[in-house]
Amino acid sequence: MNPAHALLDKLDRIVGFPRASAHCDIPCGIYDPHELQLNAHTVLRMTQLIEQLPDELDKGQQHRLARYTAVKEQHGESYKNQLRVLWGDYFKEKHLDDFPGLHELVWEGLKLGSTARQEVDMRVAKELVENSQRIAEIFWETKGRKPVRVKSPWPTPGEVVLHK
Amino acid sequence: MEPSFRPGDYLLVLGWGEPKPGEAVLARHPRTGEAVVKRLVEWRDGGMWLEGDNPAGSTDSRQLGPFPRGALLGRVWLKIGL
Repeated sequence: MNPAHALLDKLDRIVGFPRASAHCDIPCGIYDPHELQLNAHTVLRMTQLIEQLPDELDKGQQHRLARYTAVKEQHGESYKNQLRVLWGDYFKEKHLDDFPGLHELVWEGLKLGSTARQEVDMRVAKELVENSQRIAEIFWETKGRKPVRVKSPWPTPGEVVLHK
Repeated sequence: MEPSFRPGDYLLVLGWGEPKPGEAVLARHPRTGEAVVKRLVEWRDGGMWLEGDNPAGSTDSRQLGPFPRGALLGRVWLKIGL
């Protein structure tokens, strides 16, 4: 974004400039899109597991279905909460200018969070993961960190966005 | 100190000169000893009356009293933001 800042950032990593605080002793606002991605991948995994169950279920399988559903519900709702916090507390006006489409992306994420709970649909769950990746990438760009996609370390397909 | 300064901003601090009211300064926190950035509101008996630009989110002279002259580390001269 700002080449002077980028240069200082590089120097900072080598030299380690002293840090100054501007707020009170409690850090106000540690934001991270990682939980958002964990939620999306969990919804995807649960959707996968539910789809793998046969159509006729014995008692044991019914129990498993109940548990997979419970976790899918929790993580779908958590997705929406994580998004609400990032949208309401973290993202600023400037980010909307720098990243046109951010507003729509967040809105889409909220709707996908709901749909992924309501349906057992791998396509929707994959869209949820993609939504979380795009939001995570924008998040790290706003912090001047280069986002990077790595292969999911979990049983789910796809990737996780981390940063350099 | 938002919106004047944001996390990740680099500040160039001058270690000399007397700060004037309205300037942002770097000072040592009287309790934690850490370097904090605040705005000099005025000089008083006892030192510098410092406040954060974000009164709702700031711990400053309103709670801690004036910062002694000896706590001054420097004057913020330049900000290089993201």
